[in-house]
Formats: sequence, C-alpha cells, structure tokens
Amino acid sequence: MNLKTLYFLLFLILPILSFSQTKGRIVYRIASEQPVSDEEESKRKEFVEFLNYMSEIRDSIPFNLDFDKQESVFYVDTETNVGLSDKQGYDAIIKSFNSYYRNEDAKTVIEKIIAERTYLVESKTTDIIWNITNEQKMIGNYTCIKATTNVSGYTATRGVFNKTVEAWFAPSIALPLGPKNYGGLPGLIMELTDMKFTYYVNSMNLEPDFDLEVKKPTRGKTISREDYYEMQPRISRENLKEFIGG
Amino acid sequence: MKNSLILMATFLFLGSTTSKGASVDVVALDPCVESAFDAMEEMLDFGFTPEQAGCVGNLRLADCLGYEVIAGDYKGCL
Repeated sequence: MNLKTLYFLLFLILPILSFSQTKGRIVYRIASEQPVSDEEESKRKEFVEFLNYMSEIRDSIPFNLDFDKQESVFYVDTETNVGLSDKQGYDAIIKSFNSYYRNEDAKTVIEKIIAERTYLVESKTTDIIWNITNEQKMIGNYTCIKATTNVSGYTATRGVFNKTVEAWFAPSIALPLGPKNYGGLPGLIMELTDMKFTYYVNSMNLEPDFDLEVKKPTRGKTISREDYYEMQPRISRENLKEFIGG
Repeated sequence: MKNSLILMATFLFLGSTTSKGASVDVVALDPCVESAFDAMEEMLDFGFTPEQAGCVGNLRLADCLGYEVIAGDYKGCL
C-alpha cells in the first residue's frame, strides 16, 4: 500500500471513528424522476398530468433524519406545514413512505411499514456493501464522493429484483448516515438516487435547540425482509384483471 | 356513472380477450393491457399499494380503450 492510498483510507475512515457524540437533524427532500415512456406523449397526457401532480406534492415534503449517538431514525415530517397538505392525495403520498430506525452498535435497521397492520422489517446495516468510486462533485460547499451499491427491492409487478443505488457522501461531515436504510459510508450521504427518487439534503442542524428523541419502534409484527416479500401479492399481465377494477 | 362505465368497459374488454380463446401471450401483447400494466408498475415504483395501482391501471386501460379519463379521475385513486 503506497502513502497516497493510506492517506485516502485515513481520509475515509476518520469520520466514522469520530462518530459517537453527535445529535442533530438532517432534513432531506426528494426530486422525483420525470415521467418517461415509450408511448406517445399525447396518448397518456392525462396520466402524465396526474404523475406530475403527485410529484409536486411529494417533492415538497420534508424527511427528517434525527440522530442521537448511535441511533437514528428517518421519517416523513408531517408536522411541518408545507402548504400542500390540503391537496387531494396528500395523505396517500405521505403513507407511501416508510420510516427507518438504525442502530450503529447493534448493526440493525428496522423498516416500519404501515399496511393492513404494522410490520417491523429487520435487516443488518452490513447488508449494504458500498463500492466507493473515485468520482467527486461539489454539493453546496461540500466535496462529495460517489458510491454505489446493489440491493434487492420488491414490487408487486417486478417481484424481487436487483437495483443499483447511487450515493454522494461528504467525508467532511462525520456522520455515517443517510436517507432510508442507507448509511455506513465514511460521511453523510448528501444525495441518494434510489429508483425514481433522488433524496438531497435540504438543511442540517447539528446543534439542535429543540427536543429530539430517537425511539426504536417496538409496536408491530417483526419479520425478515425475505418473509415480508413472500407475503406480498404478485401482479403479472396474465392476472392483471384480478387487480384492476376491484 | 362514469366510473361504472369504465369498470364495465374493463370487464368487457378483458372478457373479450379471453372468451375468444386468446392465449395468455395474446393478452400480454395487447397494447392497452401493456399500458395498464406499465401504469401500475409506475405507481408501485412510487411506493403506492397494489390497490391504488390497480385503480390507476383500470383508468389507464379505459383511457386506452377510448373512454374519456381526466387527471382528476386518477387523483380519485389516491
């Protein structure tokens, strides 16, 4: 290992070593992907208008990442009035997002899914393996490094599938945290693209002057990710009629 | 009334594709079924439930079949 590589590794590792004493709140927001289709635009004009309507609401919603020592929680902030809460579909859009609890010591992540009942889907922080690249860019005043990971996802039409998630983290902000269940990088994730959503840091408060409590979720049925996927419906072109018009 | 028409159109359409002995592949290749499926996939990718996605898929199918569907109808699925 040459000296340059050693310095680079120290540059990456030091922020993680220093993460133990901090408490604060990072606020993220979303930039939704613009609708794309092979179909002629005129043939789905009304549908695209609907998708854009949802994006307008979604992109205005703040997501809080509260952290206290080794624990953190990522959730939709429903308290902050964003001015669009009276719009049709606002509640459904809020409910389309889950919350995530993370404990660095226990190396656990709990995704809280509220469906017909509440599920606590457990996984390990170590399940996410990052590939840190040499690519850099500035986000605000922070130099950020690109990292990617391949993880599994599930939707009723795709079933279990693999996806690549892209993150840009700032080594100068000593927090191995980020949106959703993503973290474990040597610096705060400033921007993260997961399928149709790009999460970005909207504001940071590293010395909060308000009460901030990080609570581990306990109410709900604890289940593994694999078992949760197993319970979900599967929609195909062949059984489509069972799911539409019903 | 309008929703009933759309619903009826959907069932008539789906019934016709199968009652004529159409194979699964033929159903899968139908452009309107494809549009409905794509719309549902898009909704699910956005994190909505299969029920909400199904409602949007139904409207997308009706739209594709020539029934008038406006953005406000889709909003009713949320």
